[in-house]
Amino acid sequence: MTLSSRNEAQKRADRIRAFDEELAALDEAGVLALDEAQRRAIDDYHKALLSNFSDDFDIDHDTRAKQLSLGMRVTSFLGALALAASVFFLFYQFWGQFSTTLQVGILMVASLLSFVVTLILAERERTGYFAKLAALVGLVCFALNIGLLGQVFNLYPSQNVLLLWAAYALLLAYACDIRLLLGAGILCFTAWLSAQTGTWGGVYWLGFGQRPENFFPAALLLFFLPQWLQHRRHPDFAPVYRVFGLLCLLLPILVLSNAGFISYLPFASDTIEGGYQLAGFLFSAAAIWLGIRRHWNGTFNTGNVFFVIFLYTKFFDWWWDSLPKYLFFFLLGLMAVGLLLVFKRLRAQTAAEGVA
Amino acid sequence: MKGLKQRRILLAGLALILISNAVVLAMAAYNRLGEPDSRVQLTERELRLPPVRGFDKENSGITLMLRYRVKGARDAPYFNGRDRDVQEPWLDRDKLTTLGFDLGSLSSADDTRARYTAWATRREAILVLEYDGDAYREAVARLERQLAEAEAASPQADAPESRPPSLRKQLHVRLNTLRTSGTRLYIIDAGLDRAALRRRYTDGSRYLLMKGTVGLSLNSIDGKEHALQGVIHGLVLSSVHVPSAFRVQLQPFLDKKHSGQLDGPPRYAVEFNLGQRLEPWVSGVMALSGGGD
Repeated sequence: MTLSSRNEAQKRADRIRAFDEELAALDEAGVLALDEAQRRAIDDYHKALLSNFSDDFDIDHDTRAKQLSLGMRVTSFLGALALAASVFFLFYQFWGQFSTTLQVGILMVASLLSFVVTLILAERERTGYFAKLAALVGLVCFALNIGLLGQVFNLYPSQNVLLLWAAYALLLAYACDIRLLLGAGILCFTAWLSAQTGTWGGVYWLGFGQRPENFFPAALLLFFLPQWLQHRRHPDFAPVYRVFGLLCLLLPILVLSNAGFISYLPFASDTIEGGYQLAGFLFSAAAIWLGIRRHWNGTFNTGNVFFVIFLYTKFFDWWWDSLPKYLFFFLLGLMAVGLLLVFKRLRAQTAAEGVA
Repeated sequence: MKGLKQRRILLAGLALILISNAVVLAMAAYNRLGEPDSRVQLTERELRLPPVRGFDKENSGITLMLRYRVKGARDAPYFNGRDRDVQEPWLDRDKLTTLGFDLGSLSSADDTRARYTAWATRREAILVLEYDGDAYREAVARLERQLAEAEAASPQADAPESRPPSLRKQLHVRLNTLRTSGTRLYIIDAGLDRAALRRRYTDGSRYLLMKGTVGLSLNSIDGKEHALQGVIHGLVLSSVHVPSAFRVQLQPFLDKKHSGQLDGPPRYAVEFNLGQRLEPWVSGVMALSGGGD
């Protein structure tokens, strides 16, 4: 079995450890006892597998190693932010003293060099922490490259810069298997597509946030992209697309369900708000159903959160002014208990289906 | 297989970086191709050093802020959002319609929707800036008239330290500021057709065409009617980067702590150009001695 990412290897290693612990428990309970040959065969196989994983992906062997890895990830992220800020302020401090030719040269070389260094680190470093650090710095260098060139030559700002940044971030994300850069790329792409949608309506591109419906095309594209583009080598990327897609759909719907007057639709504000409230419930319920059916945790959780938000918003509209506050919050609590019972039943049904 | 993938990624990334830079540089080169659309010598009255705040102290790049006003707007030292509501009729309903605004939809919308739609609808247009022309002279003449009326209303001189300053004193200060240090750049027109605007305003040394944004303001009168007004939101580019080659000429003014305000006559002049894409660049900076114009 060929594994393409560290995450997959780590999950397999975790399953092996869980398997060993469960086997020991079964042995102790007298339910299952393997003979020596079987035990040795399994141990040898697992040892070879874990050794390969260590060589190829530098996985965590135990809980302590996992905790240290988490610390390294946080440190790597903070270090990347600090280095990126340092690069930005370095340019800021000295660029005005260079000639235009030198400015252009420095900006381009910084972009090219940081990109090459990132690829080299991704190729040679098993853990991926230094590659992630270099990738973030590389993204800042490229963003500065294009942004500062625009300033130097006094170019009119354009939404197409967002598309360039998105392309670069996505390229690095897929090259180095970094979800953070995937998120950055998706954000830039979403902003570009929403700005473009706004301009199709004849409005200046920087005003795209004033009409939440501008985000719907991006929502559609992001949510269904993993269906059209298989991510066999990056299995952790598909959930990121889906969650961002849901956020681009449900956040605007939440805003529009309370402020119908900012919609493009030519109906009365009350009608628009009612329509979007209904849509909010339907879409978040659909996300919950889809998340359970397809085992998409991110989709389920996002749908769940927004369903509760829509529900609580509705309760606020109905009862905040008319009920005493203790009763209002008591009803909210009761509703939470009711939802818990529903989820418990759903879980029991799912478990029964699994057994069957 | 892995090596082939890595090579593809390397080529894709290098191509993206190089092509992005090439496109940006090509746009800049095209902008500066041939004769500029406009070339004018502006002074510190129109191109100010920005106030130094926060991280700006560490910024070695020099940027000059374009100061301008809108023709017919309320008196203010420079465009700062307060003269967005144009009192003069040049930004009327016909003009707004030619700029692409759908005014009909606003009249049918309920009050809140109409206000928001007006606020949210911002369109890009080409703005015409007049330099040291009729709009500036009208603004000076208007202040002179107001001062004359104030002096006629209260002919006695103010006490030197009277607080608050009388209307006459305020007008006197504003008039003096407008004559000596106020900007002479005024937005006088807007349109979508650049060629048509240039045919109407042929003198490139007097009339600058720059991209800006125009919007609407909808105010209700006694809760009933909507008073629709055009709003100039401003230029898309209201600052211009100065190449380091001209740093020496501006250095004496950079060393001092500057607040962005001009209290006296201008100290430098700038060769300001607008190119084929209506994007600006600076081609010269000269120090002005003894308070130049």
